[in-house]
Amino acid sequence: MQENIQTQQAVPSAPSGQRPVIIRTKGLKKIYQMGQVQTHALRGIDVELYRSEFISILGPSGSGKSTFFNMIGGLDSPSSGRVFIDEVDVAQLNAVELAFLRCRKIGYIFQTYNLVQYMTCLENVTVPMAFAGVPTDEARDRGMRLLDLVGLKERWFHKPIEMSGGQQQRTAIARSMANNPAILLCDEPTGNLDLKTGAEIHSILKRLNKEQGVTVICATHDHRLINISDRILWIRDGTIDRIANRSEITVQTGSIGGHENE
Amino acid sequence: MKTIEVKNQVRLPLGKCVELVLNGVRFRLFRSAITVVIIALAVAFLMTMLTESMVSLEVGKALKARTGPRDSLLFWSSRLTSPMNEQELTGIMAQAKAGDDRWREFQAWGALDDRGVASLAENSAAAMTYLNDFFSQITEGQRRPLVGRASGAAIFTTLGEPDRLATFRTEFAKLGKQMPTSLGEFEKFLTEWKSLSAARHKILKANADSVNMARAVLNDAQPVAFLASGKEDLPAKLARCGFVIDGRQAGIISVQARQSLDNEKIESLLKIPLVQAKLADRTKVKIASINLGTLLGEISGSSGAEWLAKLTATSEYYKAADQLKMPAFNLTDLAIPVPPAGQDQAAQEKFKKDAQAFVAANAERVRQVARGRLKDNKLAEIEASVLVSGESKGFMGFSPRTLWLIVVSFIVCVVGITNAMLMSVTERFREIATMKCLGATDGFIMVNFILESCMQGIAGGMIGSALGFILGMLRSWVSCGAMAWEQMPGAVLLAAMGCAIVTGVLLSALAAVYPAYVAARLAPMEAMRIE
Ligand SMILES: Nc1ncnc2c1ncn2[C@@H]1O[C@H](COP(=O)(O)OP(=O)(O)OP(=O)(O)O)[C@@H](O)[C@H]1O
Ligand SMILES: [Mg+2]
Repeated sequence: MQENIQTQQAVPSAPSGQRPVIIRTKGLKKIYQMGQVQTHALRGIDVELYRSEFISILGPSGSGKSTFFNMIGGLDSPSSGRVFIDEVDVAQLNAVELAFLRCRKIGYIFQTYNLVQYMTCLENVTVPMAFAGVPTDEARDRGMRLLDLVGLKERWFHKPIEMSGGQQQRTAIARSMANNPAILLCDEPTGNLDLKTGAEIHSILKRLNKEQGVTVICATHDHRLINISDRILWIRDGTIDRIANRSEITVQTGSIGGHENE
Repeated sequence: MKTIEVKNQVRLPLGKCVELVLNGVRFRLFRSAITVVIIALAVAFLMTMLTESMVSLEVGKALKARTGPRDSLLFWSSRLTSPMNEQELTGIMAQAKAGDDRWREFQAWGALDDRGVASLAENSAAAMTYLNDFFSQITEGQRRPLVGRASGAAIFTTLGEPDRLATFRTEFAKLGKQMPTSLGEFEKFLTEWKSLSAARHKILKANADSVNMARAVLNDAQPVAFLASGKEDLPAKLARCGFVIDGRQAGIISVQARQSLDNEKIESLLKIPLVQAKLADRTKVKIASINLGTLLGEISGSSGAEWLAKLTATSEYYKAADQLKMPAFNLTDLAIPVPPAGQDQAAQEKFKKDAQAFVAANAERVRQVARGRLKDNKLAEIEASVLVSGESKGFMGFSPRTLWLIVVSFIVCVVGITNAMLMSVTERFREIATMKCLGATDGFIMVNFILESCMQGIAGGMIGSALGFILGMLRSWVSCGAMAWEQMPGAVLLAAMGCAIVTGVLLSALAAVYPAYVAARLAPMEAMRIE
């Protein structure tokens, strides 16, 4: 944790225009209609996320974090507004192109791990490769390398049911990296884990971000993640409350939630 | 730096799909087993019906071959005593094949060449088609306006009159029904029928003459007794009256006629109170409940047969039979030994021996006749059951009722599978959504579910068709006895099994379409949802 914070400080803050934008949203709105009741989950979000940065999204429960994720991950379509991933308008893609996008360009990490119960650890990791048409042998080798990366090489034959939550989430991280995505979308990746295991997951994510240049976008309630993020984005009631660079908020974090950091 | 460039997602090869599905099926073995059982039941029902219907068809054919001699005997006994009418002639003529016995009879009776008989046969076949497929299919009320009171072959003669034909034309147009052929074709047939009328009547006349001659030869004897009188000279005897029969057929008929006479003799035994009393004594059955079955059952065994032969050789029996004016009991072609007139010791000895041999031979024949008769009874029973099951043959030999039951079983099956699959889809919402997040296309999800169902269909189809085959054979066995196994049409049933399996697969694929569609339409963001 300590070293993470130190490496963190080495990364310069990224002013707009200097680094290439990977995700851009324009007037993103989402309204859920349930019978007579309308829920405004997102009320117009304009944001630019840069390539290879580590972004945390914070906000109270029900503020629209997951909804925002679904939009930028190409999992759901907005009521109005646009999402550009690398300047490609997601709304313009057909179903098959969307599948391609999800398969190779974006990795998803869920709070509930979402491993396929009847597959072994290794099989789970190689599923996206099968969808991408990677030959079986190559998929197995790459899968083992990824499992090695998350420290689960010895457990490749275990079924999810035989693994701890942290191990399952690490498998899920390996799976999300299967096709070398440019973006990792993590919706509360440590929500179901204890502090220590959560920290392990954080460090793996940070390592992927640093070593492989993957853009990591994390929705979380865990304030420790702030320490390893490049930028932090607060969402409140479907709007962006605030965006800040890591360096700008150190003091505040210390004063608001200092006890959470260590 | 990674750049994003969006292309079409690759399509997964079928092998990979199958592998993934099998993986999943193994995991959800219990639910899969339920689906398999549903399919197996529906397929088993179909297969049972198929097996039964096909076996009964085969048994029916075989029965026809076995009861052929009996039918021939009936045919010949009646044709020796009563002349044919036009209707019967038409029916027989329609069946005549070039060069067979009937064909040659018609040639002789009508003084016709092959061409002449051929045109008669062709015309008669057409007549039978019109009768069976049209005139018998409409009601009496519908027929009246068309042809008046005429029925059978007489219809065609009636329509030979121009004014009746004109009425027929107008009434037929009003009826709005279909003929087996066009009306023009029918009228052409009517002209032909009229032109052949002379030939037909010549044949009928010659037939009547032959019957008169035969009656003279029979001289009040039963025709069966006449037909039983030896196969060697039977064709010659009949030929003298003008009938044609080949040696082989004559042999079959004379054997059958002798059996029939033997049967009559054994049946007549029961008229004698002495035999009844002794039989009741022997079988411990009340006299009142003694019937032919009791007698046949008893004497089909060798000890019973011997008992009867001995009984019918006693003076007690002779006295009783004599009172009823019944001849001594001997089966056909067994000669009763005659007692010697004088006191010659050697002749007496020979008579004693002959009498013993006669009793032994009678016993053996009695046993055979009884067995044959029991077998015939069984055949008649099977025939009845086959006829009943073969009644109102519709599509593929199924009665409409059976067809309806099969359709209902299919619907129930499809609904059952759809329900099971829908439950499976609901349970796997998160898994499906996750798969979609990982790059599965809608098509893959769809194929995945349909493949899964098809595999269950194959398993269920195989189990079901095997089960259905066994059940169907058992049911056929109950109704047709050993004949079911003897006549089992192996190749046809194998093909039916194939069809049943394919049906199972198609049903399950059909049933999976909706659940698969639901699964394919599932939004990938469902994966994010937390219960
Ligand atoms: N499928 C849906 N149908 C209707 N309303 C929805 C749906 N999904 C989310 N919402 C509503 O949209 C709003 C935002 O929900 P969202 O899940 O994005 O919150 P969140 O920030 O992820 O919360 P949490 O931190 O608890 O996960 C909530 O008010 C929620 O009730
Ligand atoms: Mg959420």
